[in-house]
Amino acid sequence: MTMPEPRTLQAVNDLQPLLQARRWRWRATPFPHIVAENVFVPDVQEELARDFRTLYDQRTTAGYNTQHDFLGTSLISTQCGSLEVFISPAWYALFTRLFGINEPGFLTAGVHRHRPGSRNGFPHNDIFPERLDVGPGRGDVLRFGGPVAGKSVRAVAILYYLNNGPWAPGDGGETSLYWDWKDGVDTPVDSVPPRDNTLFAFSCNPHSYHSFRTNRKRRDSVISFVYRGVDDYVQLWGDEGLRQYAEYGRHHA
Amino acid sequence: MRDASRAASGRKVCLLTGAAGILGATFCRRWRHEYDICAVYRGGRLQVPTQEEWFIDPLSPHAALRENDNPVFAVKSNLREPAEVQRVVDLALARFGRIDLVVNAAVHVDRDRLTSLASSSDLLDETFAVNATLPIQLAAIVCRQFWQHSRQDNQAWGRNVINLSSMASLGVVAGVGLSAYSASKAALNMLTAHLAAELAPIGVRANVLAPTSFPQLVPTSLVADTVVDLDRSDLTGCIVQLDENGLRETPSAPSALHF
Repeated sequence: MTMPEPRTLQAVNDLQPLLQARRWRWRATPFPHIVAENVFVPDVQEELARDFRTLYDQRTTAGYNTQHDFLGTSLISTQCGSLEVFISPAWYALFTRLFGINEPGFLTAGVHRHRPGSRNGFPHNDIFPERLDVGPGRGDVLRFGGPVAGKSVRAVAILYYLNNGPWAPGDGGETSLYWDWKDGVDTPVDSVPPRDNTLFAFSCNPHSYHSFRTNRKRRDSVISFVYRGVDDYVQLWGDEGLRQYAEYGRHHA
Repeated sequence: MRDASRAASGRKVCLLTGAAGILGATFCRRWRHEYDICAVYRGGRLQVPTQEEWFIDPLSPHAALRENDNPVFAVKSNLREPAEVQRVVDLALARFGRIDLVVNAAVHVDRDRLTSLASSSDLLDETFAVNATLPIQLAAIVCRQFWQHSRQDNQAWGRNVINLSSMASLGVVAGVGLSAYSASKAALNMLTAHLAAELAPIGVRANVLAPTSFPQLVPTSLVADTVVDLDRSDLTGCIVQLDENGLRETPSAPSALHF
């Protein structure tokens, strides 16, 4: 099985031949999230890792994110081969359905590389209002019927780990989960190791506190975000999460 | 082992400690379809569906999955913290209304040398607390809170305590590092024998299962299944050894009780 033409990945069921495990774990605490192992069939997994390497080898414009200490680049504005699955309508539909996002919205996606020794992150909930430029000419946002004007916030975050090789406790690079933004980064409730072909996804809300943990080995991942309008978010959660982001932003500035 | 005939029918309620360990996880996976399990764990993840974690089919997220049948009731607890044993019993009784089987599978292993006691008694304090004191304390609280006034029901449901010990408690294992563990399990053996004698008047049994190393020398599944065999037997006051040669029942005292 190799990756079909991305343009054929329109509906959720178009992903069926690509997926290996059909049993993903839904966990309710400390906030609703999904952990899935053996996500893609082996051939597709290898193709994704190969294209990830190619992308990093070819791109010289990977930006350095100072706040989160990684190198990254958008998938949407580049030729990324099989990685296009992560920006396909089917991928968007899969996760909006899993997390019950009914409003039309947006998708962004990119590749992240945490080099060995990347520093610890800090518990944050990913709620940060952004004015996504979805007008013509802008190349890093896919619009799935969402409003063109106004600010958006992340509704779902999806991390897929690949190209890392074997992982063992002590290698670091986990994504850790917390009850509160004040929790110490080294005392999480739970952690998801960056094992290859593993996926971690969660609904972004005021309580979805998570953080990258320092690593001894390189950690590569593909990250996709589904966005919803701020008004939609506020209607569900109020503006509490927005205020918290500003609060811990000051602490970790 | 002999089969006990029980007047009561239905699923038994099992209070299990060490549920995220090798044996606990195996027991939950193999037997949650026949027991209602209150699965107590300190850290890590239970590998079976719980009230907090279940399986979904990503392409059909609302479909009912057979894998989610009979979830265990997960209780995260560090039983060494004050009042935690009481809280665990309260939660199990609140959730299920009764407790029919207590399986103590939580374990503490510290391979430090006895000469470390020159500077601290932590090695023995912690090991004995988890491996010997807590199992008896848990059974004592269940007894006081639920068992001690209902001999008839206890017998009807075949209520009992199974404490997980080790073959290392029955002889000195060569090499450094198992002194505290072995001694604490030997203490557990003797405490369980006395517990069996104390609980006999109210119709509750207590036994020790002492397996050899698993999964290295015997499959973990065999140890888990032997727990169930013990539950379904009428043995009490026994140390049941399990190794590559099979099972051996050893009365822990000349007056080992059978009823």
